[in-house]
Amino acid sequence: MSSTEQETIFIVAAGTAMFLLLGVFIISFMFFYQRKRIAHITEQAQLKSAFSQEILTTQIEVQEQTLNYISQELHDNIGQVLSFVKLNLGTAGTITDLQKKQQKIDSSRDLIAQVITDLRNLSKSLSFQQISQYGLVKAIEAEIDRVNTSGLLKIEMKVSGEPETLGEQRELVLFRIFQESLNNALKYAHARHLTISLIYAEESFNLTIADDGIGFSTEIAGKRNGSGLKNIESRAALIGATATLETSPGAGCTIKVNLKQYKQLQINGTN
Amino acid sequence: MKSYLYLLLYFVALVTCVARYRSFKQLRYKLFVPLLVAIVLYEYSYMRKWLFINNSTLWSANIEITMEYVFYCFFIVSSFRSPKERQGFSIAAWAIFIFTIIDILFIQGIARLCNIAIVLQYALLIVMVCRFFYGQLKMFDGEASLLRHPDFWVNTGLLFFSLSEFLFFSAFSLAYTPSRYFSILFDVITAVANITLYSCLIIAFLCHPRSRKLSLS
Repeated sequence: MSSTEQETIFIVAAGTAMFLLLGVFIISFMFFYQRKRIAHITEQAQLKSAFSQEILTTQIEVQEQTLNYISQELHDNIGQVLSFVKLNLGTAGTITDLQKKQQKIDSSRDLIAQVITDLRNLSKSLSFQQISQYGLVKAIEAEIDRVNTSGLLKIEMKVSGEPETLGEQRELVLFRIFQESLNNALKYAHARHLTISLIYAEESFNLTIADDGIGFSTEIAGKRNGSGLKNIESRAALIGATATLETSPGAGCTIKVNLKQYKQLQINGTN
Repeated sequence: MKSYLYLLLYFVALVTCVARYRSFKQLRYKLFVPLLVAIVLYEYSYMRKWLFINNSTLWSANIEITMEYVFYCFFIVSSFRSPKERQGFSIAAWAIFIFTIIDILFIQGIARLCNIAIVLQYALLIVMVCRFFYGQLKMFDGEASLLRHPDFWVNTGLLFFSLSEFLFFSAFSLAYTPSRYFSILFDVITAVANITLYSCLIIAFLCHPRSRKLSLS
């Protein structure tokens, strides 16, 4: 056998072996890829399930909090005023002086009018319609007017950029975050001033709520009053935003909510 | 001895195919029965030396290899979902089939093996199998394992069969010289190719679930 033939046979044998190795590689890659893909799909399903669970928990927490707020409002405000009206009217029956009697009745009428206004305000602040009808900026403005009129707090609002809709559900969540922050400022921070800033940029939306209250240590807040703050974070996460808190004792509290690339998000959804 | 082993392998594949025939839902699997019958008959006739004309069986090898090529082309093309792909590969398969006839009749002659056409046939089969695998990669949904997928086994067997015979047929001109090493190479490569292909075919047939008769009683 000539050396050329020998070489050819060697090339054929070696080449075939190489080809077979290539086949083994292709098949191994198929198995490897399938295993990776299955792992990826499983992981995605687990993450989705965990996220759904978190959303459910947050929704329940939000609902609980809203019901608490209504209950508190009915007990502390409306209930008290109506009790006073009842007392007023009860004593009016025993008064013989007609002028004094009329004064009692007038004062009771004023109190009832106040209760009606409070109930209307409560209904407005809880209603979803306000957001869907007027949008986030107008809804916040109405809430600010209500608080400023009460004299409990002085609120200022700044809007930068061109306000545009972020989607009803997102705006509602942002409005609830604002209400939660306002509630915290009134109840715990003993603040006198509150500044709200809404920035509509090309790529993102920012909501900043800053008060001049007593502030707190974030470590203590985590233990004592963590649920309200955690709620803000969870609510922000629901719409794909991030919430950050900056505070220290005596330095007030600033809550920043950042919603990135909101224009690319489905406008009416939460995802 | 070697021929007996091959015949046994083909026969086992045929028996498995017939046993699972009822569970085959696609025509391409049902057509394995006539193909395997033809292969068993061919191998038996070869053993009995019924196919020798002028001391050569290459004419029958041309027919047998081309028949297998046509069948496997049909098998793979019918598994593609895209009509464009089906059309493209069908045109290529027909072109090579026509070239095979030209090779047999006008280039190599009937008495010699149409190895140029065979190399092209295997090249096309390798490309088609790789395309099938690529399609599978995109379709993984995390449910069925590849090991339970009959098409995967047929294509795997075909890939190894084509890869192992490709270079051998490229250098087939050496077969016409008195080379002892070439016949050893032929034996080894044919053994590897056939054992791989038919083992994979048997597994593919077994991957089809056994059909059950429903009874109303």
